[in-house]
Amino acid sequence: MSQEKLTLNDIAALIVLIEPTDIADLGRARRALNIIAESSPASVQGPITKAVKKIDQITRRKPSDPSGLLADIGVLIEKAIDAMEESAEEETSFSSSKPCSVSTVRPSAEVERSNSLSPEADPTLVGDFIAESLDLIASFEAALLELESDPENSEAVNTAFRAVHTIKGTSAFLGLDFISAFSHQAESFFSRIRDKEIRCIGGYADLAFRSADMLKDLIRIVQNSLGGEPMVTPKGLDHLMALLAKLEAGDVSAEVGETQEMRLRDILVTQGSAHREEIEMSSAAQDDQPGQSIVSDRNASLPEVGPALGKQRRMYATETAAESSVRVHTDRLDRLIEMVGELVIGHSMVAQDEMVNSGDYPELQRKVNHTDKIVRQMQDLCMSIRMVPLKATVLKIARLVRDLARRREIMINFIPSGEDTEIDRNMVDLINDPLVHLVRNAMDHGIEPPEERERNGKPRSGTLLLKAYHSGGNVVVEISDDGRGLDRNKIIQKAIEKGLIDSDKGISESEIIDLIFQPGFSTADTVTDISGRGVGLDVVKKAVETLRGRVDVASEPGKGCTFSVRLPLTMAITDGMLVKVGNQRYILPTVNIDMSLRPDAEALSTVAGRGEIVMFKGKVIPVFRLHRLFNIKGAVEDPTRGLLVIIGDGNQRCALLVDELVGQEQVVTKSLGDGIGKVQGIIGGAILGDGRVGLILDPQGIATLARQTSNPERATEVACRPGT
Amino acid sequence: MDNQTSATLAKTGQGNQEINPDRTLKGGKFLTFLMDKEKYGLEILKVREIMGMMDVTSVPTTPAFIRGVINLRGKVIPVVDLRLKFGIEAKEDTQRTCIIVVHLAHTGQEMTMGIIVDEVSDVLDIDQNQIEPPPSFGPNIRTDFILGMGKVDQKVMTLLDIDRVLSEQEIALVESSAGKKGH
Repeated sequence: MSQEKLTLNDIAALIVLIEPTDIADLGRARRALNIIAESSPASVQGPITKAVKKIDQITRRKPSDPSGLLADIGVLIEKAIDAMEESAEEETSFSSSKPCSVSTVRPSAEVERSNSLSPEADPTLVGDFIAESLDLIASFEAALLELESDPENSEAVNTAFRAVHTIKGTSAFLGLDFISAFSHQAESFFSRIRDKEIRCIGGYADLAFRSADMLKDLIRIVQNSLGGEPMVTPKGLDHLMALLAKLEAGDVSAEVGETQEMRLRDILVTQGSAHREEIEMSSAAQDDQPGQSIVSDRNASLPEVGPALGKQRRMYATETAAESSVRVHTDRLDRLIEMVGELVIGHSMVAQDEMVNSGDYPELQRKVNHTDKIVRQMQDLCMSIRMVPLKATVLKIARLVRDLARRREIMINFIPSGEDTEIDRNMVDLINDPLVHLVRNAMDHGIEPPEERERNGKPRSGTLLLKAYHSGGNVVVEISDDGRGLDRNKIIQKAIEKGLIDSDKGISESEIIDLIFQPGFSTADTVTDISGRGVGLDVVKKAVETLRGRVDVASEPGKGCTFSVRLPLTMAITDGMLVKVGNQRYILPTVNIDMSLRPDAEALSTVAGRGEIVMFKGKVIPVFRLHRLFNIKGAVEDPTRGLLVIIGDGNQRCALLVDELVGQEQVVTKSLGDGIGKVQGIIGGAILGDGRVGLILDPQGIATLARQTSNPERATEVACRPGT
Repeated sequence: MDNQTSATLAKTGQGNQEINPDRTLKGGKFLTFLMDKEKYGLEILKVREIMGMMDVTSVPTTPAFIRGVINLRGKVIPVVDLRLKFGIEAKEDTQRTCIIVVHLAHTGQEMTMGIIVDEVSDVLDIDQNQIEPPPSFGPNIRTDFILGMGKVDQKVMTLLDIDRVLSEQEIALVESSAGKKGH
C-alpha cells in the first residue's frame, strides 16, 4: 500500500538510505519506480527503467561494487526528477494524479479530507493502529508533562518525537493523510525542540499539549469511522497546523542551521564532500526527508549523502530499543483465565478426593501436591498477565491537574507516587472516572487560590498527592490535598437547606462525611465548569461500589482532605467468605464484610414487633435474617446461636444472620445465565471446590431487598395492632 | 445483564401473543419425554445433552418453576422444572428424572438452559403429515408454545416449541415476580 504513495523524491531519499544488502527496501523502491513509470511521460520513464535495471543487477547478480551501482541509481533518479519537473510544468494536470506525499508540506488549507477510510485499509490494521497510537499518545503526553517540569530533558523530547514520528509513519501507510499531515507538523515542531532551538515551556508547551489533544481527536475520528461514521476533520485542525507551521516559518531563515538537517550537514562538511556555505544555502527546512533537500539543491550528490545519512540513522537506531511485548486480544486472555479457573477447581476436586487423602497412596498424594503447586503458580501468572500498572491513569490525571490549575489560576504541585501499582486491566478504565471526579473535587473545593493560601500561612502553591499502593489484596488510591478540608458548618447548612437533615444535633463526623456522598450535594456556592453541580461524590461512591470497593474520607479543617479509594485487585476473582444458611451455602465478598459476631441476648431488641436491631459498640444496626429473606428452611433462628455478619458502611450498614462461617474461598464470578437475568441480592454464581454452584451475595442488594420487604409489612402490622 | 433485562422488558411490551409467521410444522427428529404420564416431543436440534439429576443450587427470589442453577462444565446455567412450569403437581425426583440441556436462540438472544423432566423416552422420526396444528381451546388458553400435535402409533403427543415455552416473556415474568415468592 505504502509503495503507491511514494513519489520520486521519496524514492530518492529511500535510495540514499538503503544499504546495498537491504533487498526488501530495494524491492520497495523498485515497485514504487515501476508504478511511477506507468503514469509518467516518456522522458521520465527512460531514467526510471534504467534505474530499475540497476536495482535488478544489485539484487540478482550480487555485483562486486553494489555501492557504486546504488550511486548510479541515485543519479538516474535525479534525472527522472528533473524530467518530471519539466513535464509537470508543461502539464499541470499531472499533479492531480500524483498521490499526496507525506513529505510534501502543503498549506494547511489544502489538506485532503477523506470522507471514509480508503477501501484498501484493512480494518484489523486500522484497529492495531488505533491501539498503538493511543499508547503512543499516552507516552507522548507523559513526556510533555516531564518536559514541562524539566525542559532540558532530552530523553523526554526524544520520546515525544518518536511517538509522533511513528504515528506519522503508520498513518501515512494506512493512507490517513490528515493524520500524517498533522503529525508531520507536530514532528517538525518537536525536532526543533529536540535541537534546542526552542524550549518546551509556556506557549510552546501549550501548543504541544494541544497537539496531543488533536492527535487524540484524530484517532477517535478514525475509530468512529470503523463503525461507519464519516471522517470529518475536527475543528481547529487547520488552525493548529497553521500555528505549528507558522512558528516554523517565522524564524526558519535565521535558525535553519539548528534544525535536524544541521547535523547531517555537519557530517557532510566534515567529510569534505561539500562546502559549508553551499549547504547552508539550501533552505528547505520543511522537508521531512533529511538529505533530500541537500541533494535536490545539488550541494552534494546522492551517493555522498547516502553514507552520511546512514551514519545518522544508525545513531538514532540505538535510541529506539524498546522492550518487547505482544498484543493479545482480551477475549483470549479472559478465556485463558476462565480455563485456568476451571483447572483450579478441577484440581481441587482431585485433591479433595477420598482416595488421595486416605493415606493409602502416598505416591499419589505426593504427585497431587506437586500438581497443586504448578496450578497455583499458573493461576498467579494468569492473574499477573491481566494486571497493568496504574501509570496511564495517573498520567491522565496529571494532565487534568495541569489544565485545571491553569484554568482556575491556582498553583499546584502534583506529586504522584506508586504509579507502578498494578491493577486488573478491566478495572483501569472503570476507576478512571471516579479518580478524575475526586481530583476535580480536590482542585475546586480543596485547594485555595494563592492569595488565600498566603493569608492562611500556607505556601502559595498547593500540593496534590496521588498515592497508589497494595494493601491486603486491595489496591488503594489516595488523593490528598492540603487545602481547606471539609467545612463542617457549610456541609450542615447545605444539608439542612436540601432537607437531608433537620438540625446538626448529635451528628457525628462520619455522618457528616456520609452527607457529602448524597446525590445532588454540593457546597460550592457557584457552579463552575469544573465542579459544583452536585453530581460528583455520589457518582464516585456508586462507581466504586459497583467495583466492589469503597471510599473513605479523612479531613482536617484548614489542613486538607484525603479521599482513599479501596478496590479489589480484580473483578474476575472474588475473595469471599463461605457462609452456611440452612442447607444452602453462599459466598459473601470479603470486601463488604466489616466483622462478624455472635451477639448477646441483651444486645438484641425488636422494634415494632418486626424490625430487629443489634446494639454494637454503641451503634444501632438493623438485623436481617438471610433465611427469611431467601425463604430457606432449617436455618438457625436464634441470633445468639447463629452469627451476625456486619456488612456495608454508613447508612447501608446492616447485620446479616447466618448459621456459621464455613471458610474463605477465592472464586471466579460467573453470570447465572441469561435465562434467569438479574436476581436481587445475588451478584452471580461461582463454582465451588466441590463442583457445585455457589451464589455470591450482593450486600447492597440484600439490604435494599430487606427494606423493601420489611417496610410494608411493618406498616400493616402497625395498622393491625395499633396498641403496640 | 442490565441491558438485556431492559431489552427483554421492552420487547414484552410490544405484543404478547403474536404468532411467529416463519414457524412451520416441519417434520424431523424429536426427542420425546414423559411428564405426568403424558408424552411430549422436543426438536432434537435444540437439545445439547441429557444428564441425570444432579445437585441444583436454588436461587432465592425466583419463581418456583426455576429450580436453580447447575455447573455445566464450568458454565453456570439455569434449570427449569417443567412440571411446575406447566402447572403440574410437583413430584419427588426419581432415578429416572433427567435434565435436558437445550440451547435456545429466540429473537437473537442465545442461551443455554436445563429443563427437568420425569423421564426421557426416545428419539422419534415424525413426518410432516403426522403433525397436526395445535388445537384451539378458545381465546383464553395459550397454545402458542405448542408446535403441533404429533400422531405416532395411534397416540398423540404434544410437540413443544421450547423457545416459546422458555420465552423471554417468561423471563420477564421471572423478573417481575422476583421477591414475591419470599414470604
